[in-house]
Amino acid sequence: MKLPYYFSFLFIVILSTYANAQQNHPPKFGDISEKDFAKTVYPIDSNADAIVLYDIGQTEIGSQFHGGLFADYSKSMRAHILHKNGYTLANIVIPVVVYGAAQHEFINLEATTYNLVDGKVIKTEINPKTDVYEDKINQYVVFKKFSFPNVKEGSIIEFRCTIRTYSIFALPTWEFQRTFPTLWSEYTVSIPDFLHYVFMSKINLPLSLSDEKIRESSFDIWNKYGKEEHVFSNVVEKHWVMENIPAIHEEEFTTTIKNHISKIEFQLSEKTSPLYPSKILNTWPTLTQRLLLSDDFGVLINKDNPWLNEITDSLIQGSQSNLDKTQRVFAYVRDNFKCSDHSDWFPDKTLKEVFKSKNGSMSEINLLLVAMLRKVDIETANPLLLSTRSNGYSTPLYPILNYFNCLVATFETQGQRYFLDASDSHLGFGKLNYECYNGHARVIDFEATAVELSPDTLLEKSYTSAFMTLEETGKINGIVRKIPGYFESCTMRDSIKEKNSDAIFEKIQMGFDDKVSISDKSIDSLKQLENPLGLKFSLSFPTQGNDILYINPLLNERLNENPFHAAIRNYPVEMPYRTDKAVLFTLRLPANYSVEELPKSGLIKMNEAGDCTYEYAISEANGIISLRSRMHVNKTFFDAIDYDLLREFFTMVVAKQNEQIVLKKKS
Amino acid sequence: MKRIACLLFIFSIVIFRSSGSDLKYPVKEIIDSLKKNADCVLRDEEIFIEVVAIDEVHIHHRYALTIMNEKGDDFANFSEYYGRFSKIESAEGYLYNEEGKELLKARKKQMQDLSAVSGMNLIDDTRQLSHSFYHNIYPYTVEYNVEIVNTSTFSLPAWIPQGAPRLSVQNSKLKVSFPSINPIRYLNFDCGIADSSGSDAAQKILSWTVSNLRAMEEEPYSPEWELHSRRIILAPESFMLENYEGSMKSWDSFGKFIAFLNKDRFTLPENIKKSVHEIADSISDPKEKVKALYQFMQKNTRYVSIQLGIGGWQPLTADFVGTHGYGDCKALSNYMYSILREAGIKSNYTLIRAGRSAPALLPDFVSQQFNHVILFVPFEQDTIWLECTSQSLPAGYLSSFTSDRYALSINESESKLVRTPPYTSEQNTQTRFTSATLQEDGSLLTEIQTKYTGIKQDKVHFQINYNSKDKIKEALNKSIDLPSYDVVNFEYIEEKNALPQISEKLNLLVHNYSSQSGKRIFIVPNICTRFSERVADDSLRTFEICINEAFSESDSVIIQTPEGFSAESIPSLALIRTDFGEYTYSVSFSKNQLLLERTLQIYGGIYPASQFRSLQKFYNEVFSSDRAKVVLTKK
Repeated sequence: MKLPYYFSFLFIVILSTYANAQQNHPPKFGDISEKDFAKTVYPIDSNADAIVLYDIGQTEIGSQFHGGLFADYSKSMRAHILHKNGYTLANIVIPVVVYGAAQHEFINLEATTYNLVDGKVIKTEINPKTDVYEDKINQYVVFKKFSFPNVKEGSIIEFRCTIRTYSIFALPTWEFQRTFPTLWSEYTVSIPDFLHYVFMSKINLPLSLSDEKIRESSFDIWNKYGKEEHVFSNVVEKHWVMENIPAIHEEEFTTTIKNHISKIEFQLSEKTSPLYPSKILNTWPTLTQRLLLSDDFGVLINKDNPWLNEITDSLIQGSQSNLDKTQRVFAYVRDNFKCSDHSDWFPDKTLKEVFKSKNGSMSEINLLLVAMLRKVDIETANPLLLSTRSNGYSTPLYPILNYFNCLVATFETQGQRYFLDASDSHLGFGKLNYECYNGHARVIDFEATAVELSPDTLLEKSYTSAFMTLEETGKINGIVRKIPGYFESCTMRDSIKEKNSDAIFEKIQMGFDDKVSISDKSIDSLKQLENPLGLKFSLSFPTQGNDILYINPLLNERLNENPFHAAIRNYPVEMPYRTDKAVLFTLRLPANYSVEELPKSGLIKMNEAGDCTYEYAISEANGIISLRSRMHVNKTFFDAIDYDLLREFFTMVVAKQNEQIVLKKKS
Repeated sequence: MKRIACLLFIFSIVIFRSSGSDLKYPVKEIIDSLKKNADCVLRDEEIFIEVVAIDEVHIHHRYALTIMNEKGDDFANFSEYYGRFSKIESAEGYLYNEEGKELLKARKKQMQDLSAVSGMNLIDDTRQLSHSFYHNIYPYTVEYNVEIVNTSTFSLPAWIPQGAPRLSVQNSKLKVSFPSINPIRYLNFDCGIADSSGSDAAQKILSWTVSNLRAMEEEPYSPEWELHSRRIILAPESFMLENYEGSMKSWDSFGKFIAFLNKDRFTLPENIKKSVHEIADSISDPKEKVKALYQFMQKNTRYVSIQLGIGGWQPLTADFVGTHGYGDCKALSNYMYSILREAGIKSNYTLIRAGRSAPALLPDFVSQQFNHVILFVPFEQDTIWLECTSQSLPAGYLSSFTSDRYALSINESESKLVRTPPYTSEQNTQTRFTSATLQEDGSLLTEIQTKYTGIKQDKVHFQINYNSKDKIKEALNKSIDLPSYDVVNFEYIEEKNALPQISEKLNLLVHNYSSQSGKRIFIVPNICTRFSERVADDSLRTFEICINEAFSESDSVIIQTPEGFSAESIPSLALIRTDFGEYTYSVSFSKNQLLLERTLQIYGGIYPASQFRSLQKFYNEVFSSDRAKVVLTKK
């Protein structure tokens, strides 16, 4: 797929701000000669399809007379395209906010492709008037798109552009890494003294420079008396450089690659004199309290909402306990409101609008749930803000709202805390999608209570039992019962809703190499969303008449392949939950067959600590073969250095689970 | 004045209140046969296509759908595309409950206006108006009413009342009206006789109605849904696109229109002209000239699609492509045409409907059925076909993207339908020699040498041409159907002929390939050519079976096993011949060597629904046989 190269922030390059004598420095914009084409293989990665030679960004806070403060984002980038697979770097998309609080102004763009033809450097420039297209995504955002012309294998592309934004609340994140190796990544941020930002840096690779300078500058601002004033102020200039950065690499079993990229993020925390002093963000309690006081958020759930009286009164009729009341209200909201989107955790509609239209975003539905619970005197009901696994970790260190993307609900009773998500019609009471178990989360209450939703608290436990009989004719049949894990049950419920219950049994049938037949199928607990499903079916193998029979006692429950394919791994393994998988198999033998071969019992441990264990206990006595198979994965987080052991563990499990019982007809 | 105003006020209140008490589309009125297997029922639909003039078409579309359950929710989403040649004049939506009471109403300004630029394109004109009520109490009914004005009759919507599985149709009507001087032609697939009442000499009105169509289920190996649906396809005779006029009286006249759009767009930049002569002048064989120039074009261009306005139909000039180095299928094909023209070689810009399983062109109905352009270079004997958007395909090879179908070759003097070459099961081959040694610990060291030709090499071709070495290794680590293995080495040699060929050599270490139990070894002789299609038990089949691939595979496997074992169980010989294909499988064991010979040939084609059980039997037998085990015991 030819996807365009995205970046979500723009910065100016200031050509000569390198006051310190540095050993390395990136090339100057536009300064490209024949010798730049000589290199076709770069030591950082000899297989790379393209190398980003430099990626430089700058954010500078500036001001305008009568205009107030703004932030100028500028970016310049140069890349060497070595192979046609690197052509995607040549399609650039720049998002520009055109309406709303964070409106941008797209100031300028210069982009040129350089090619070496007959020993000479030929330039092909973009004409910003004709070759830059605008794609109006929706009323808020426009994408400015262009494609570098004349790009071939060996081309060098370079561009720079500037965007000005009047929102200085959240400065864009700077990422040092991308899908191609980068030789030089540099970011400078210049902030006047009277604006304080908190910033979070996640640096996994060494920085070749990290410093701070102070200089002076002047600004036209509205002072604390509301009057325009021209002020002089110290400006703090922070500067980071990282060199020789390898490409990022998606791997299986990670929460998201976003968690592993080196980056720096910012958010405004305080304005001080000469501006009107105000604390924007400070501590968690300040943040949650502000949310609770806000008309668009806290007030929605805190006010009386008399229009809810009728429904809440009828729901809790005859209810005895808080837990019972909560369950009833939860079930009502879950079953009667449809989730229209999951895009933003901040509500867009009033709760009354949600109630009337019977739909809302994920957070709006959960806020309605909280409001209704408050109505029935569940004082401990509160919204809970979190960041899902695919969105990356949030941090307890600073209340940076941008980190969160998801709002659910929580309440406490009798010393226990429950988590509720009424926006998903398949979730039971007290259950959240495993995507929500991503560590740090925050209750939106007065104290901003911190909560840890650790995936280690989730256990996916499944149990299969098969009672089979080998008849004298050689036919094998019996009854299988399975209780899948909770999340597997959720997936099955989805599948049943989408197709029908036969789909589940079809899938089971496909799990056997032989053509088995499945009958007398039944599924229970379909509607008990708090519980896993219960499956039951009769199984029959087409083995009559054979003198020698081979049967795998794990049936279709064995691991077909090692889930860890890659030979090398750079990032930790992050599983969504712990696992406990048990299989019990018994086979009753007739008089005319005997056991010719029985696999050996065994215990496999990943390491001394027993982070993963597999037990295979098989025996034969009195004409009955029985097997007990149990796999435990006791952690969800494995460091990259433990990867080899983890992979080896699964290789051995796959092998063990592949072993057959051999039965022979007595002559 | 006051009195009248007062009366009007009262009057309007009365109107407002009374409209609320009408029940619309109560669910209880749906007959049982229409509820069966239906997630959604089309209660009523009327599409009225009103051709006012050659450059003005009004489309009124009103439809009401009852969503029976959660699975039907997707049907409830309203989405109408528009662009340069079309504009949405008005749109309204209504939501009714089971009883038929109106719950909500939506106006056009409450609907979302979004970009609909295709992911394949850098930029195009397409936008969409979109809306949903997000209701969740089932069943419920949504009704939408939209008015669109098109400024051209070039591409008219088709009427497919039952356009999806699990959708039943209570009533749907198509009405087309046009002035006799601008006639509209149609192709009728099983929609009954047209009702032409209301027509007169100057104005024709045609309408068709279908009612009470039961819902149908999706079936595997089916052609595109619309091909087995009742439908009417419309096309004009004369048309206008922007300021360009044309006629669909024949393929020749359609072609002339395209030729006119393409007129005089072949001037190359000077430096490109020079390069063309540098390359071509020293080659005498014209076919070799074509190959060399095609490779030149491939090295110097890439695919970037810009489709704005008439640019959706008219290619960017050869000068633009020469200076920018990019273009879409139209621009790149026109560019290649211009390059060949400069070298004195004739070629034809050719319109085609691309896609591996795209519906075939209707050769007897001239209309806009195309979505891609290729180049047709005719010679006395043979033709060279060129796919100009690919930087890697060999000259003359089309792949399954555009093979074996009709295409319209454009020529100022005569445009006509031509046929692209098919690739048969004898041309799409996979020949594999595998030698392996089973180690004492059960792991397998193996070298697999495979030769892929024709369509069988397409996937490998994309793998090796569009991925770095690291990514190829990563993909190989996942793609082979073995439980646990490491790719020790891989090598590819590509022969870019008109029937391309790739030779692949893989060295694998497969962990625990054999399973050991006491004195037995269990081993599957078919290491990596295992058939993966499997058909679940199914009820009665309605639609034709469509197998759109044809290939042959042949395998020879030698596995060296440890000393001291004899064969206890060898899978039986298989020789299966069916209408769908042929399969042979034979395993032998002697002197510590396990030998396997396997062939599979799939013919491809269309088969009647009644043969489904035979297909199921064939596929399942091949699947099982490919996974059969050999059991060796210690002597």
